[in-house]
Amino acid sequence: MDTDHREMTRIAEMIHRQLRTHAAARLGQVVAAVQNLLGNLAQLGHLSRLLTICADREWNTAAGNVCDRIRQKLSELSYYSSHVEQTLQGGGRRGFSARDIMADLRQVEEEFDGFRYDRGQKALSVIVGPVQLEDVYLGEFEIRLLLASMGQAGRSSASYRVVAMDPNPAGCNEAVSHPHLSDERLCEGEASAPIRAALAEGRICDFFQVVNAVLTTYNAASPYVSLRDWNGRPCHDCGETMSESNSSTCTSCDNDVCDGCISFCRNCDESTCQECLECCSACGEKMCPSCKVECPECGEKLCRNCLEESKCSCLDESQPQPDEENDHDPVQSTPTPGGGADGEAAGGQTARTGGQEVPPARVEAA
Amino acid sequence: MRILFVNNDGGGFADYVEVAPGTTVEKFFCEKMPGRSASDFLLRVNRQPVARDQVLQEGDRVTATPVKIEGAHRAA
Repeated sequence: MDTDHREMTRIAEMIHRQLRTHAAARLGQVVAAVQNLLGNLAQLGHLSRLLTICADREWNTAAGNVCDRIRQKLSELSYYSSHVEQTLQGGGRRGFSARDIMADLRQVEEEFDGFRYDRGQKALSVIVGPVQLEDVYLGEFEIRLLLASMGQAGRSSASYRVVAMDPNPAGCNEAVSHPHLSDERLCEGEASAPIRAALAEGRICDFFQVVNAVLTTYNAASPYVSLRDWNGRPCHDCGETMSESNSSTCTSCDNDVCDGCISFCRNCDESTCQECLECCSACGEKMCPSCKVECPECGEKLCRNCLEESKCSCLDESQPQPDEENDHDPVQSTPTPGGGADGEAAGGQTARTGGQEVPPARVEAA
Repeated sequence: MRILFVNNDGGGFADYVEVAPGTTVEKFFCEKMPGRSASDFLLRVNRQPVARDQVLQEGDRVTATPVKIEGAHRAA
């Protein structure tokens, strides 16, 4: 027996042992589920006896209560029954012999490149590819089957990893090296059931072939990142993927943003993203950080134009308003406890009079 | 006669099935996978690629694996 054969035998026996252990655990789950169902059936029997007593003695109200409990028990039985079916799906699988597994390993070696066994990690690997989907080159992938967690109940994706050997990840997400891979985990989609079955039964070659079939197929309806957007970058503001032609650079923060998120400063006309723009407190127009200045009197943020034209509200306050302006606004002549003409308005705040906001300078003049 | 059929499509089951003596690979595929095209599958008999007209024998192991399987953002 040569070394290669010994190694193969060792791996096959290990897989076989592993599967037997997990198969026994799954059968234990089946037994527990059946016991649950039987317990509930016994309770149904008890309710049936109670109903017989109620009927014999014509206790109609009590009989109605028992009927309600029987109805409830029936719905519970349906749950426990389907639970037994679910556990049977996992526990009732046929087991392949160590010899079958050995033959499978030989088949994997023949059909795939890069077949190797990592003793430290107890991982069996093959290389597939290079994969190219719709003109997007994704490179080679290593499918790494972790024998220690193989065949366990639950999600099969915990039993293996798919590692990009020559990564060409999506521009907007480094963790996505394939439309159906994220952080080395395959989103199995239609392959979920066959992968789980192959791993539970020790059909190693089938497992690798099914994973390979997913890697070489593109499902445009449900990718992590669509191939159309593969080489795009994420918009800094909204996170959507954008192509080179649909992106602009904000002159303030230097971040790239999409066409939907780019805007411009109403003062200097420079391209600026929405996050960098602020509204001038005087004219209300959007301004970039370079055009934003503070009023030397009150510290209010204004655009350059408004400051140069002395449009800050605090400057209005220092100039008395013509009397005739107040004559037309009787509301302003009635100071209220919330804000009136008692000096609070002199701080540059708006005053509230009769439910309406009135600039402080006006209240003062009233 | 009885053969082992491993179907990696759909539920991915493996089970023994009865077939009539003289059944070819192509006929077996058409019976078991109606409406499907054999060119969309990797068909193996006893782990080896075979011709469509190969006649199945007692105890053969037939494996059908789709060439293309759609992954998904959320696993089914």
